[in-house]
Amino acid sequence: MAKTNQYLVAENWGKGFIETSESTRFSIAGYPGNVWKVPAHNKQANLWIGKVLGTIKTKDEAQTLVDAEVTAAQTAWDALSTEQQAMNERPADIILEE
Amino acid sequence: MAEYKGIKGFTLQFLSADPTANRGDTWYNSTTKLAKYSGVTTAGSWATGGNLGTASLDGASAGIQTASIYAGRVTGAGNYTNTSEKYDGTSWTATPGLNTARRAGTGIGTQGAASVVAGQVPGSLTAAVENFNGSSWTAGPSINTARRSLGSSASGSQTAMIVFGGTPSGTATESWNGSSWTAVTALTTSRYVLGGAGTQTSALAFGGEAPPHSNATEEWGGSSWTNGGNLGTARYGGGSAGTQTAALYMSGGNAPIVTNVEKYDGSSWSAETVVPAGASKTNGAGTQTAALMIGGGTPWPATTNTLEFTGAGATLTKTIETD
Repeated sequence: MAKTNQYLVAENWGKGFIETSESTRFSIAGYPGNVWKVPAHNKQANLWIGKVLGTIKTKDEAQTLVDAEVTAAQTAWDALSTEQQAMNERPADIILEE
Repeated sequence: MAEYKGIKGFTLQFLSADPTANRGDTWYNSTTKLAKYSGVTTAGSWATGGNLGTASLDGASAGIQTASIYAGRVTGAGNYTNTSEKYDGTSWTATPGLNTARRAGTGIGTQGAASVVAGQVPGSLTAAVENFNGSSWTAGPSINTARRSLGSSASGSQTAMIVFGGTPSGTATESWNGSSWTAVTALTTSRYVLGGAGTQTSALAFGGEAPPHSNATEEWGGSSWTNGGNLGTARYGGGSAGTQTAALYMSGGNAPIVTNVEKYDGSSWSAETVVPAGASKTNGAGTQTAALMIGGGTPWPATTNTLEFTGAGATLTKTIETD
């Protein structure tokens, strides 16, 4: 079955990283670890990947990167004081879709 | 073959650079060799804005998409700070810090005349109010009940605002008339980390943590709260923008963070275009059609992300594609 999404790693440099003209043409979803999901086999999405110098990752590779970030976030949360923990829920695991 | 002039009644402009276009304009850019037109967006859309100088969450914000301020936030692993940054539509620059380092206060007003009210300080809560005049923060009269994670009439002003909810006060609402804070009719639904929009006499309270997550919306008419339409997705910690009859609630939640965005029309919430990167304990500024989502946790600690929302109907330059 042809894949629906493709994953990449790219650093969000801020203004111009995602432009309105791009987000109106295809969906872009971001995850911890500078991981982004865009539609597969999509000309405009591929042009955007080129613009942001994205590095393509398989879904499993992307999941590993996200897991590492979430685990680090959970570890950081565990180290917080009781007062700080009370103000933020412990970060939840994130499962990427195909 | 039919000519463009014959079809539309005017010639296609031949320009070396894209002009400042009006809706409906068409032209050919001889430099990029692309035909373009000035169209209208049919749905809300997101773009990245300039990144915050410091990754942050749970601050207080005020202003509009192109002129906002963000102050008193958590940076790194749980640091309460007094630091502040302002946004010009392109980039953030550091501004003078609050007198009291804090998190989870609420922001009201404009970039050059903002107020930060209450919040959490290490080990306790604060009722302290600080007002910004464009160059420095000055302490004002404190609210009556110290609290954190409260909501406010974010589009109010330094001389007319209300704050509501939060913890531990839950439902307490206080109104500022420019000289004193007065306890007024309390919210019906107790909650904290809620959204707030509108003005002192026409405010909106929505979402929050009751617990559980709340979808409740309440409208302030100047003397009492009445129930409004419920959010489609109960959540807390999203970014708020707009007015009582045209509000926007962006992302939020924590476990998990949601990317949902909803807009309010004065009676009901409806789904808007989701954010490309969700965050919790994020902040908002601006209007329902030109909003800013600032920082937040994704999930923890914090991010530098800034996202700009443009509502449907905005003018947008598009390229005419032939294949």
